[in-house]
Amino acid sequence: MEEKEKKIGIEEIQNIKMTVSEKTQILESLLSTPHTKQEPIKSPYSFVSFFQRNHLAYYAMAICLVIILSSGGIYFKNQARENTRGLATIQGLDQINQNSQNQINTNNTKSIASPTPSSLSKKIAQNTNNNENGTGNSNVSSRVMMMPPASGNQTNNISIGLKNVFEFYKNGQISECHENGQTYYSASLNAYDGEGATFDIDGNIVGQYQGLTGAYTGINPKSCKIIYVVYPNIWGLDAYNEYNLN
Amino acid sequence: MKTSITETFKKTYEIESDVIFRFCLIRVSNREQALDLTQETFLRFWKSLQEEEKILNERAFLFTIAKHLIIDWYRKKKSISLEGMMGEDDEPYDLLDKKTIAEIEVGAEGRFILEKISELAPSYKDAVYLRFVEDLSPKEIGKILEISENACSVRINRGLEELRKITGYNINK
Repeated sequence: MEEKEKKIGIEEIQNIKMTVSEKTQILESLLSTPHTKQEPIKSPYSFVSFFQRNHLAYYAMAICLVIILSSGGIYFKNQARENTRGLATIQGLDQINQNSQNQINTNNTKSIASPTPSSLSKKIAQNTNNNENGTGNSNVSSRVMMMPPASGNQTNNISIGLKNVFEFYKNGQISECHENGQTYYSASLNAYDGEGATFDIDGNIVGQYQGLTGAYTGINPKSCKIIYVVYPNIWGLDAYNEYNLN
Repeated sequence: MKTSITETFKKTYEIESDVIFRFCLIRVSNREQALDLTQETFLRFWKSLQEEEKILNERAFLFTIAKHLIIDWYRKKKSISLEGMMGEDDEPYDLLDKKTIAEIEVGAEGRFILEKISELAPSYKDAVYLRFVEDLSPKEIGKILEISENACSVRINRGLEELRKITGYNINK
């Protein structure tokens, strides 16, 4: 009896059904539903939006960039100064430069008088003596590709002035210039924003300039010929050593 | 491809639509609402088929969707009731209760069984209903209730034992 009641009860529950019309209506409704694939919702946040929303972070990053760029500039400037330390300490060169220019401009036919003895000249002389005595310790270190001398006579005819110039501009470029029958040496260091100078045949400085702020040296560059270039260098030139200055 | 999906859907709908409707009706006691829930359940199933999602057990999948839809419906219903707003109705959702069953059009024996099932411990109600009335396997019930097969078997056994005591029916485990 209980078993029968149980069966009837379950059947009664299982007879709870949708009507045929309800069933058909739902089925038709479902099958006519258009398939729209849902795209994933795009995040409103991105790397740029972070800065747009957070101005503090934007300013912090801008300040950091300014600091990094400034310190980088200072660092490279110091590097250039380090490379040109030999000349950077020399005082009063601007005045000498001015005097030399005036002399070149006005006394075209006269020989260029030696300028007032300067600390540079003294330093060059001192270095030369030291080197000759074997006690010299040049600050400028460079890798110079040795070139054979163009001729034996040229090696012997190298002036003291050129030797002195070479001592300071081993790590750089030296040009030989001819102006109004006089020979000058224009030399510059192998460094961006490095210093350079123009010397007469005796090694006396007649003009000086500093990197990009370089001043007029009084020498027509067309009259100059490169006689020495260290390698590697900032000018992208091959090594050259016309007078075998080493 | 489209035809095969439609055929699969139609076949599944033919077999399971009444079962899902019944499952919904017993819990919401409103025929129109039960029809809505059934339609929504099959709509989600239809979309899943169209998006070629992998469905291992269609029956368990449908029951799971229906169960979640019913819970959502209860939550919405509760949120708009004054009792819910006053925070006096903090009891968990009791999907099978006597009041709901009383409103369903069903015979005396069927109502008796449903009432007795609703008297069981909350954790046994669904497991016993799905096993005793719908004759689902413990594995399928476990998937619907989101519990392991073993835990489901334990609930079914204990629930049927309890049901046997309160109904006096000889229930085969």
